[in-house]
Amino acid sequence: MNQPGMDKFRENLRNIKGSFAASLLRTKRPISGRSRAAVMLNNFFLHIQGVRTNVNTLRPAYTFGLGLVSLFLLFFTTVSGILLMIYYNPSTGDAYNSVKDITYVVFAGRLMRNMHKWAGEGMIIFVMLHMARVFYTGSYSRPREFNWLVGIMLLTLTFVLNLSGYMLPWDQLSYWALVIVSNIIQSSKELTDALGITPYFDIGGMAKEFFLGGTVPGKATLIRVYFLHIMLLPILLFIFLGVHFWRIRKDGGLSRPAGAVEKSVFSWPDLLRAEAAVFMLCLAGVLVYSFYVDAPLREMANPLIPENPAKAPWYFLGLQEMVSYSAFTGGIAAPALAILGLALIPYLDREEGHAGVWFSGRQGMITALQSLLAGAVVLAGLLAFVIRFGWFRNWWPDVPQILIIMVNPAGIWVAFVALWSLRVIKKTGSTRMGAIALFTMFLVSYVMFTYVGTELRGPNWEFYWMKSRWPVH
Amino acid sequence: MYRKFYLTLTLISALVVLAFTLLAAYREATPGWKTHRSEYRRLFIEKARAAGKEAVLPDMGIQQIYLPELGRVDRCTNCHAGVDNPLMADAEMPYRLHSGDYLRNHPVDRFGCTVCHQGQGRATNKKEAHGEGRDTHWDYPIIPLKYIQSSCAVCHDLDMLERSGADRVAEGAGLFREKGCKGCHKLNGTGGVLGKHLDGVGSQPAAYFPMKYVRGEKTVYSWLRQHFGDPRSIVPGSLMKVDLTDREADLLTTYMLSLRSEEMPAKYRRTRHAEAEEPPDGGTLYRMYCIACHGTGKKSVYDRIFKRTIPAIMDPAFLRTANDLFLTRVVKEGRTGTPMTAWKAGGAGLTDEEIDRIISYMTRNRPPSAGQAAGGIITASKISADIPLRPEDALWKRARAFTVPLMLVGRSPDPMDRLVRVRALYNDRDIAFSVEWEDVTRNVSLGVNKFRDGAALQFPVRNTAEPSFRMGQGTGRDGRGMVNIWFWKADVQESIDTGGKTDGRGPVENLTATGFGTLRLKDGPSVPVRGRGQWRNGRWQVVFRRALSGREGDAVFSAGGVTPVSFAVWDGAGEDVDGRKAVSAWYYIVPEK
Repeated sequence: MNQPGMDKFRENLRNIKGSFAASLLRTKRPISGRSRAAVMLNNFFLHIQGVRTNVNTLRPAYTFGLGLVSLFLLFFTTVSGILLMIYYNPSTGDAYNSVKDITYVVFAGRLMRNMHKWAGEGMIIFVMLHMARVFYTGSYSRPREFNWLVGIMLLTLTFVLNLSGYMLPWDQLSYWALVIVSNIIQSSKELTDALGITPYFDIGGMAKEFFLGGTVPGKATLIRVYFLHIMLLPILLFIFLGVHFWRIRKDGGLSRPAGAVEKSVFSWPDLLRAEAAVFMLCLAGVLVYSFYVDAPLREMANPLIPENPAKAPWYFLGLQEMVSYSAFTGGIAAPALAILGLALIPYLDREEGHAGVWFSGRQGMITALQSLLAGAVVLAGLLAFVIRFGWFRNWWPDVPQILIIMVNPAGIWVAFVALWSLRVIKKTGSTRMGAIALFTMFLVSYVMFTYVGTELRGPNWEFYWMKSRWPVH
Repeated sequence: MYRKFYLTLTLISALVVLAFTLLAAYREATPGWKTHRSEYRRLFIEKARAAGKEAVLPDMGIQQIYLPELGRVDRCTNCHAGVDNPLMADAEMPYRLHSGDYLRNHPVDRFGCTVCHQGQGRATNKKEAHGEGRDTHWDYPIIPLKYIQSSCAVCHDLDMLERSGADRVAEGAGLFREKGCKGCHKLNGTGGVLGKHLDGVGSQPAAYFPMKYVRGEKTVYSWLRQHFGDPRSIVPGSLMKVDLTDREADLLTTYMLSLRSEEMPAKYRRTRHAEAEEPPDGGTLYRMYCIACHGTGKKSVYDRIFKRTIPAIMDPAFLRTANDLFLTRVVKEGRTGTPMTAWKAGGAGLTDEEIDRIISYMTRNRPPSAGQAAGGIITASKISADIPLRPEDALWKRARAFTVPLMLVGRSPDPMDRLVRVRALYNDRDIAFSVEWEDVTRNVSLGVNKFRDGAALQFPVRNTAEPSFRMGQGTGRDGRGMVNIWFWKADVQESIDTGGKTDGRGPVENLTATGFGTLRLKDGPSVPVRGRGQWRNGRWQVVFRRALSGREGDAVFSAGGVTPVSFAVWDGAGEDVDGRKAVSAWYYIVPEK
């Protein structure tokens, strides 16, 4: 027996906790300033954050942790998504049955599916809230313009990822949402039809066929959408996410008021503690919601039984409402204008010195409130008018479609938003105020159009105060 | 910074996460079916001990019967654990042994459960497995036991089922034939077109059925059962005729549910065509396809649903006027403008031979004297003398009479004999018709709430096409649907007879129409059709006469040719006016060569 060898072995065994921690952290226990800096710098996951964090960043009422919430929701969807992928089978014959099996016999499968669904849809809400926070604190201004663009990209990806996931269970909801969405994709056909060039240049039809892999949703569509959902879109999302985080560091961390005292603390442990809190809160929220609320699963997809109304998922119902006025406006013009408008904000408003302050002060808050009120009233009036009196087609059945494409409620609303924002710029002499007006009205339109499309539209896209009043088939 | 706030938040959230993780784990680890399995095991041991047998303890894990050939996964036996355990004969549900000896020939591990009982095999809780309620979003809820035999017919033929314990579905199939359901409903290629076709109706999802008025659970079987009870309470305006006892309605529901579109793999099917199926005879065919509307065919009946009289097609009076050629034509081609279906192979799907058999059956009681009768054909005899306009002229008495049955439109029936007797004569110059019918009241004035008697002849403007006999309604506003109408009015006749004001016109108007509400006078003051009517002993007789060659848009007659004609009669006492009248379908005038 080699006594010294065994001693060494015993000693190593005894010290295993310390030596593993040292190898992991690449430093001693983070209790001194030096080691706290080292622990952040030397860790792959932590080094993307600064060694020190400005106190403003830690102020809960500044960020509300909304960006982090979005990130953690993404994390939960990824984890639950991987678990679902083990059982899910992307073929039209088996997709529905595999989702049933996940629901009924996979241990915690129902919970995983719920978490995947609700965390994913939660991302839509929280990414938008995060965007609102960034906007209202003026955090898009120089040098953060480009990161705002990356953020818009991430928002778009969030929408499309959610949408592609909605198709996968291959139930009636999936199938008819696919039909609606492919029609929205096809909506430029309305314009080419009105211009009479569809036979030569049917870009809408081509786009639809490319998306569906045919003319109606089927096998090819499902595998295409599955590929988008688990491969292409997540890869893009994670790449843009990396850029988004990297730019935060490069652009000087989170925005903060210009005149504020530059006071910072070590990221370890203050920042990590805050992050841990948001993580736990987030997990608790998703878990509790998913424990009680089941993700919907209808009858198996049946092309012969149209859902009436056939609806896109809720986050696209604002668009579908606009599509009901004019396909081109709702499917192409309005979303393009919205994305373009949002993207241009940091380049059209280049005022500085207001970053880090909610609403850039009192005037901004008043502008936001005024825009909120004016927008809500005008849009409610417009929607009420359309619902009560209809539009051109109801008054003059033979009116050329091109006229409706050019003049329709959605177009009038966009024009009103643009004019209102310009008027604010003129009145206040501030492009920032104009941006606040524009963005507030964007939020108002998203919420109100979505509400109308989701709650107030029944069979044949007719108006009903509530679902319980829908006629029974 | 905010250390306490973040730590508290973390702690509270972590507690929530921990609590709900434990809750979720508990919920996942103790599903309802596990409770059922332990209870089953307890029962099993207890009963085995009482019976002095050794209990082979069941596997406690999840049970499923995987049936790739049937495309099914059945997890029903997690709760219905004793389904093939004889010890469980008197156990409580869901542990009880399956009733009867069905499982002897249909072992659970080879057939599963849902192939007979429906429901959602994959589900592992009662509500969803049984597919109860629309909120489970399952199209095939578990079939109630009174309809369960419908599933037997998916693999077995009725011939076999009749004898081996699935009498209800076989009886339902028999009722389906006897009640003449195929008169309106197509199944396997044959049957009428007035109702929905029934292929695969038993596997159609609930969404195919209008459930608005269904009482109780909105399932296909409830729909079928309630619809058999009272079709119009489920589908307002339905034309379906039913006269069923509750038991018959149940049996027919069972049979309907057996009409499934799924094709079972050959190794699951067992059929026994004990004897080669004989082709059905005429009587059977009549019951299968005709009886629902025509009943016994012995007397004409007013049909409240169709709102018209259905002629007595087996009444000797009718058969005297209808020869086989005419009947074959009507059965094959249908009657435009009536619910009568075209039964030819390209239509409702009967073969020529089957139609012949039906007609032989129908005409078996035709009076022998009618052997010469030209069915549906009214021959106009050629004479050399002038054709008299006077109804009582002897020439008319000698002319051959044809009987044409009328059906009532837009009014309820009365006790009168709804027939017209028609005679037709022609010479080189003119053609004339004498139309005679029973009318016990003579109504010759028109006023508020006073209606007159009347009669009309109707001809298609083009002989080649047959418009709807309802004034060409719905058969096109072009020449194809245009009809020429000769309309005799009793009130005008009365004015003429009593020397009143008549504007110099005769009692007959010459009109054209292409459907209801399009009637208009064809000519100016000189009406080419002359007429005269006379009422005697409760009968009207009216003579119509026109030059053989008419003008543009008038009916065309030619020796040896065929001109379709239909008749209408108005009874003033019955408040007949306009579309409210008695009419015939198309008959055919053939001027003798």
